[in-house]
Amino acid sequence: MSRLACLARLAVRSAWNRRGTLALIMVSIALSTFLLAGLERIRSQARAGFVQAISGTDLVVGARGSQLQLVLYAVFHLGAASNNLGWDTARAVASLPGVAWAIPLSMGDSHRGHPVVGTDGTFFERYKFRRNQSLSLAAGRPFEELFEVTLGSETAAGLGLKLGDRLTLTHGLGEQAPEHADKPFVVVGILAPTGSPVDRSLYVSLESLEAVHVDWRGGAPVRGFHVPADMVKKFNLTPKSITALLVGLENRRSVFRLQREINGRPGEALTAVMPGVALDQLWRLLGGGEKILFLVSALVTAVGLMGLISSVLAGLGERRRELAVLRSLGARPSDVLILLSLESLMLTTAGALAGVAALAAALAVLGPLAADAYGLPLTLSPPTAREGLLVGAVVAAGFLAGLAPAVRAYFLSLADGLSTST
Amino acid sequence: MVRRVAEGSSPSEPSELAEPSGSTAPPEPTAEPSGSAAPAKPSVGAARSPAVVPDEGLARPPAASIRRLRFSWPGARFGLHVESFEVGPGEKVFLSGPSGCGKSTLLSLLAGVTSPSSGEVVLDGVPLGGLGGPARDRLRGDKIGFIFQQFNLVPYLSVWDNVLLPCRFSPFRRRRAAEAFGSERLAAESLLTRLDLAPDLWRRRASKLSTGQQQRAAAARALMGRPPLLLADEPTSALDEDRRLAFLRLLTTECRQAGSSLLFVSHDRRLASEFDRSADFGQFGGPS
Repeated sequence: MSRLACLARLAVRSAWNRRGTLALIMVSIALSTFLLAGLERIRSQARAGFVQAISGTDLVVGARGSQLQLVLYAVFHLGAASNNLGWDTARAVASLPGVAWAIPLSMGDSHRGHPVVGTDGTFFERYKFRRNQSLSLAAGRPFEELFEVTLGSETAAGLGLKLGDRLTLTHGLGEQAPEHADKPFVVVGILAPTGSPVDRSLYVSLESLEAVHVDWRGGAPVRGFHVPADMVKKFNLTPKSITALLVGLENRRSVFRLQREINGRPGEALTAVMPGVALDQLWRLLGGGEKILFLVSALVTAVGLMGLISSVLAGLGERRRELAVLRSLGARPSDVLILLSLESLMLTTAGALAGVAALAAALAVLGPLAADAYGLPLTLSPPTAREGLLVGAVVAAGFLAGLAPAVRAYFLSLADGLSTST
Repeated sequence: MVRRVAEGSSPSEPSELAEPSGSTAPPEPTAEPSGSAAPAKPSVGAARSPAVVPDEGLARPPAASIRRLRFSWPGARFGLHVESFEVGPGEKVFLSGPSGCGKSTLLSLLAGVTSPSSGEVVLDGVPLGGLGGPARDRLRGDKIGFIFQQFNLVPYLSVWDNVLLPCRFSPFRRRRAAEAFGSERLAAESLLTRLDLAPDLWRRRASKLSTGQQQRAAAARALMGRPPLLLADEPTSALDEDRRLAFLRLLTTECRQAGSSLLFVSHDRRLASEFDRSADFGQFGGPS
């Protein structure tokens, strides 16, 4: 048996002998690891959920303006567009060579704080979120006729709406804004949860939006002019303008060429944005909080390691005799150093592994709940490289922390010699 | 090179060794076969004739010798001063002195754990002065078996693992054990049995044993692999009055069997009659 194997065996036996104390240290290291790796998992999945709020869309096109603002209203339905995009221009963009499909989006109305989005059937076919997942319906069907609405899952759950219910749209986004009370919509479908902004929205056809505004001008009903709901079909309901266009390309490699082409188009001034890039920028802007979280969990880890150092140091007094006996058997001071280092290495490794296992268990149990409740896709998946790095860092830090008592034991064993009678 | 153990039962038969301890009680020191080991009995200061073990071809060097050694404790006005002290091969030396007079320090100096201010310590022919730390640690593991007053054993290891521990740190003692008994396991079985430890105790944790059992297990460990020198630091003071002599006789018998020299440090002069020679620790003190 090699010397190291012998020392390793001694370290294991000795640790087992003091398992009560060491188990506590191990638990604290496991908790630290759990916290660090868990936060990292949540952070990366939240980021993925955010950046992949929209997927498969190569370009978001809107009227000339801020790229960030365009992404905010086109993807997150937050805020309002300062300018619209002419319907003819939108159709021209949709028929550019290389464009596979285009989803028109028209916004501006709301229902009890939830944005109402006008679109067409392409939306249900082409819209993708997170790693190319398509929309699916939890109940009912997509809207087809005028005054039919399909709800995002959160909208339906939050407002307690079900199939067949009637609702009216509010002009604008505020709660106090005037209602389109004369033209109620009927719920025909509810989308399955996506963990994306789709959940919070309501979807109607472009023509429906046109229809509720037939007798409106400049944000208010035209005085003395009222078109009842059953009469609107007599009007031309083709939209005059939309808010944004989500564009999918036949070949993703042509995205830069198309972006340049759209941005530089003569006529109506347009802005085309690659949503992934813009979302990434936005996340970095919002990412200050994650640094604080990381700092806090790093501090918790440091406290756990302090516990390791102090309890190993405290236990050293009782072990001096044992170490002196080993010295009398020919163990070198360096063997004592190795013995104690091995112990802290075993302890932190076991603690880190326990933490990872606890995280996996928590993900397996709580992951589906989190996905349902918050649309946060916390899934049981192999650890990412960054998580591996973090766990490795915990083990390395634990090993380094364990060196302090080990070095003390080294010098104690030199000073004590064989005087074990005290 | 190494003497076979001259005992009635072959130590390489585990079945016999597994019997209750009473059946394989060690022989009384007085009843041992004459001529099996005849250590020389040199007197203090006299020239020592090397104690030649019969089947040992060459004269062995003293197990330990000290020349003109001086040591002072940090900050202390008195120190240790040993002009000349020797433990011959196979010799059993009783070293007496009151507690707290530096006996443990002398043992540390002999073991090379503590370095003297000046002078020379030679272990089984190897001067410690010229050796670095690791070499001294290795030499200690090879040449010396220790028995302390108490707390001898590694508490979390079984008796069995404790006894085998010297072989883990010293390939030299592993080889010696294998040469004498066939394997280190057989050596451990033989030693434990002869030291009156029944097999059902072997797997027990050392800390679960009685004081007397612990001390006998410690003796077995010290004798494992037949180190040239056994250093015993007050090994009997934790034992009952009536057990001391029995333990001491067991120890001296086994030392003879193993061909190991014994340096036995104690304040209890009544034990001195069991030894080849006795020395008083008082002669080692003095102003530093």
